[in-house]
Amino acid sequence: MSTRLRGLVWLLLAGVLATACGPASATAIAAQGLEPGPDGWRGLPLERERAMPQATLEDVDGNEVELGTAFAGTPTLLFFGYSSCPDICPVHLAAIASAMDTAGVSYDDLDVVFVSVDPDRDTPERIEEYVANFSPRMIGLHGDIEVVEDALAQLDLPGPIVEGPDPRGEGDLIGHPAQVIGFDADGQALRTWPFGARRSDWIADLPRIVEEWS
Amino acid sequence: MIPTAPRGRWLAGAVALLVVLLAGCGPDGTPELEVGVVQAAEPRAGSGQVVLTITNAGDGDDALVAVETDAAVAIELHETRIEDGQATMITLDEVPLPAGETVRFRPGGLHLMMIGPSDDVVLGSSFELTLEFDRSEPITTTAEVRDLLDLAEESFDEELDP
Repeated sequence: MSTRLRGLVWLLLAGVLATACGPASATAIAAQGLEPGPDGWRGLPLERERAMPQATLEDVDGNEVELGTAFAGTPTLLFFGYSSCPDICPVHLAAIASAMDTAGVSYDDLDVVFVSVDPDRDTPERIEEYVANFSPRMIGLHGDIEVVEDALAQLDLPGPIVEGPDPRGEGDLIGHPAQVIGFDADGQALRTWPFGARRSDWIADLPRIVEEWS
Repeated sequence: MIPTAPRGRWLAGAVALLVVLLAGCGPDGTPELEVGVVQAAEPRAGSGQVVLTITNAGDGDDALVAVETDAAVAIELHETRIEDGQATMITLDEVPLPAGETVRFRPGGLHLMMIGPSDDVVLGSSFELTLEFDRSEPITTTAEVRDLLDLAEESFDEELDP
């Protein structure tokens, strides 16, 4: 057997072994470390301008809320999720709520808005109870799925997609944008905070949002 | 020694080595599972999760197939995926525990979701849970209940500095 052929057999053998043993299953969480940028912000700047979507939703009391007008005049953090979302949503909302307290930022000076992408299950009562888990001052909104999809499209964000049945047997797991979007008082989206933003990131950014974006 | 030509002996040796090595890493070996520190996130808004590491130090593959506890209606095997800014979650029937590998369950990735945690799962408390495997005997362990954000941020740190 030639040396070259012998080498080939060893290569094949190595290949078979590598396949047989299998690589480690991926457990990466795609969390991004929010290193402070040169300007000190932890939230990431948007690559291009986006405005607060024009969409009319409903708050938990049944009042119509037009995003563009309702949150004009105050900086706003906007997050799309759903109350049965067990991993990403509670981490984001709990981090913001905790940092609001620690940084001493008032919900009067910064609107924190949760928009449900799951109108079938997220009744006003359920949304109210859900956001109250984090802060009763957070604003929970819902609307027809077409309206929510349109709002997401205006922000160039992926629409809600159904992922499969919820193990709790009460509907489906739903895909939703993983980031929080920050708007200034004029309704311009300026920065986003991906999943992985820590309390310390929010404690650094929240006072600046109020100071510089109002 | 069986009289064979040198070339044939070399080939036989390679095949024998292949057989031995495959036996070592395939389903015929013996898994040896070790469970690291077990922690549970304090439930927020009706769901919690268990954070733990399982190492398979043996030479045979295994899989986590179920988690049983009295502290919740059920514990499901989930995986959160974030692609192009879109977060989605899938439910898994089992999680492979390949020989020689460590698998981590934590916020934002593979995780063990507590469905309907009972009221006594509160910060500072602890509860028992039993991990059930495809091949190994079940392992019963105790989870310490901690703050969700503390666990999430520790897992972000692990991701950055594994």
